[in-house]
Amino acid sequence: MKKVMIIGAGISGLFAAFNLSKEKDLDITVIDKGYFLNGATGRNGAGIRMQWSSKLNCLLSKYSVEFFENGEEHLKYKDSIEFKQKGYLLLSNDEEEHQQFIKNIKLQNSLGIPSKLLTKDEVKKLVPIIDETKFYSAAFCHKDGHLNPFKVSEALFLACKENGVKFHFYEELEDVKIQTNKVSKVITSKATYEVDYLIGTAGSFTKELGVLMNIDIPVYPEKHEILATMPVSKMIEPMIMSFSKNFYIQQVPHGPLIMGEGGNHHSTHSQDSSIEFLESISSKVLNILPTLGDVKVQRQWAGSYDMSPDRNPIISKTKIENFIVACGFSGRGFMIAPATGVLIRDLLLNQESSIEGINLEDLSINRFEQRTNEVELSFV
Amino acid sequence: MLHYDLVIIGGGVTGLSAAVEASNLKMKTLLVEQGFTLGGHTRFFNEGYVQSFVRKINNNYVDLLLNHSVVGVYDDLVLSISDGNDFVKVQTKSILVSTGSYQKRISFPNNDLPNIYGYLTLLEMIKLHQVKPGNNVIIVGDEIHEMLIETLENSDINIVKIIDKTDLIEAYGDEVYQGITTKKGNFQSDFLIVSDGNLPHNEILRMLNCEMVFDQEEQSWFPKSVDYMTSIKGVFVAGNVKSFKNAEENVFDGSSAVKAIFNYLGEMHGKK
Amino acid sequence: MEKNKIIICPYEEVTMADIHKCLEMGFTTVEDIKRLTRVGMGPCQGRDCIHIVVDEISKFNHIKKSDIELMHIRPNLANIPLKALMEHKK
Repeated sequence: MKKVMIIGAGISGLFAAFNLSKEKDLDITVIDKGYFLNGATGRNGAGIRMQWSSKLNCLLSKYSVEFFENGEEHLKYKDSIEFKQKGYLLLSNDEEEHQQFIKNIKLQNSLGIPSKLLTKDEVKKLVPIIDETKFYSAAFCHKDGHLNPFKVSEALFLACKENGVKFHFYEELEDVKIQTNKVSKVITSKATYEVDYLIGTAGSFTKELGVLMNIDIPVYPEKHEILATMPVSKMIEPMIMSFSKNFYIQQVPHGPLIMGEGGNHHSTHSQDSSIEFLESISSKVLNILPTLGDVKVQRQWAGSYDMSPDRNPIISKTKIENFIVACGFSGRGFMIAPATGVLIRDLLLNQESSIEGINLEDLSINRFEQRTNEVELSFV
Repeated sequence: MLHYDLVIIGGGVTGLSAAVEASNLKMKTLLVEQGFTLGGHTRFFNEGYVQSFVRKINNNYVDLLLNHSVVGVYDDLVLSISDGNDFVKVQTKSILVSTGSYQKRISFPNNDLPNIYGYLTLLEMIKLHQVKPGNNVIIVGDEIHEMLIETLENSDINIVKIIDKTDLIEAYGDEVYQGITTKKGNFQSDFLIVSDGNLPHNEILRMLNCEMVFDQEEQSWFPKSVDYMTSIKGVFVAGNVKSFKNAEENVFDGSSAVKAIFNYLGEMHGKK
Repeated sequence: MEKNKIIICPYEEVTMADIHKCLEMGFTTVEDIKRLTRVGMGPCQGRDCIHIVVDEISKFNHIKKSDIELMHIRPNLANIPLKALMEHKK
């Protein structure tokens, strides 16, 4: 049996463990420095979309949406993962943004993603409470949607445990021993382990993990704030998002509205909430959905996007032969995690990418030296 | 945004005593109380005692904000305060948390049936709202306050039975509470009171990440404090949320804490 | 006692059976149980129920209550309408 250690029990680590646990000769342990879902996975808005500006991100998310559509079956989960496919409505602010939408839709359609432009009438029909004078144009994909991150994670946890994966919480990686360019031992706060493979899926802490191995992993943590309101009657079907205004809002199945903003590009592990966020987001949301004034904010929190230089994931082997890293998801780790899990398995088994159209080179940590990669434009 | 030297969170006798001291020391103070009236639990026992403090507060220095609660505490002691409809943003130099305690719930099957009340809720119903929930009652729990018994007797409510927590099996009733099943048999009454002691109201302290210490006797978490100041600079604590004591001791706590805050603010000012 | 008749959190409809399902999965902290059952995610943030969850963790895992951390508390402790927040920004 080959020993695999996965650092980080968030959604990427969970999908990595799930896929690897289906291979016969791997003994898998996942460690996490905190409680289950203490990181970004337990904090995220859990929106799922395929409307991206690059082929790479379109294909990663398309693969993942198709997985989630039959998630309960794949994971043998008795409960529901609550995949609500009511679409993502993207709002443009001006002609320039509108032209980018047209370009994106052409690319998305060519890859089998059913996105399209909507007229203002169609938007009003989809979201009756929207102020249609407050945006320029809109794009929509009815297969985009939202998942329950806790249910998905629970499903993966149970499926992994069923397949013999071991989980250790409150156990932190402290050091590694490297021999002949391979990690031979992993030393944690609780024990020392011999390993054949080490996988780094530690979210915004993957950079620190790389430091232990003298590898510069070019990611940084960016704080993003989010809030949930009291439950209200069903009023918004799709996720509504604006890139130029840098915010999103959606309604989750049990009633609350969830809304959030982009970060301010400062590198920080801080997950503290601010009053300024409440003031800013309420202003943005009431501008476009003016009848929501009486809806009450119940809770606010924050989480980290682990940002990469081109806002595309790093799913890659490294200069240390048996160390694979998956990070830099720049705010979409959750929505592409099924693809991440499969690609990590491909890397470990030295296979070509098993996802059609995806080239592992485009996800490699080496691409930053070449600087030929395409930057993702459609983000909050 | 409003600016204060001190925000007192909680208008029970601890907070009131603190407010009196703050006004004597001429500190620009805001007292926030989530109830409609001041006095906390002491309102149920001794309204006159409560008013003796209210009278001594100098309104030139102390603003009272009733029916509002502190909803969030942020960096640099910025507070958001609301009554559920408004938003009051406050910047303060110091905070005194005097939020007191609240009744502990116990869990048992059908504990959500109507006509099951915590003992403090019951006291509030009778003492403040003159509502008599029924003619006979069963009490379950391990900490029965003598004031509860006295109030029930004075309201002509017959105490059918007092049951230990461990003897209770379940409550029953079609749509409202009708009775309980216990290890010693079934009993019925008009309503049920749960009386199992209190828990400190420490959410604000935990939101601020104050260091907490577990008290074995009370089986609860209380803030670590030195001279009334918690592990967070500028955040002070007094009253039952600091440690369970009687009203007189809490009154002393409140005024002493403000003296400590006054010294702290003086030191801070001196440093500048 | 029938665990699914004991309501731990009325806001999120969490029963004692839900809590015990997590304990049987091997989870030992309040934060884990909060995420998997939603206990403590309602408006009161566990004020009325977390001491019961702590009791159950303590009994099931034979851990001292002093070793069981309470959950982190976040803003808000009560609700503020969006329009009041927006007014303030103006």
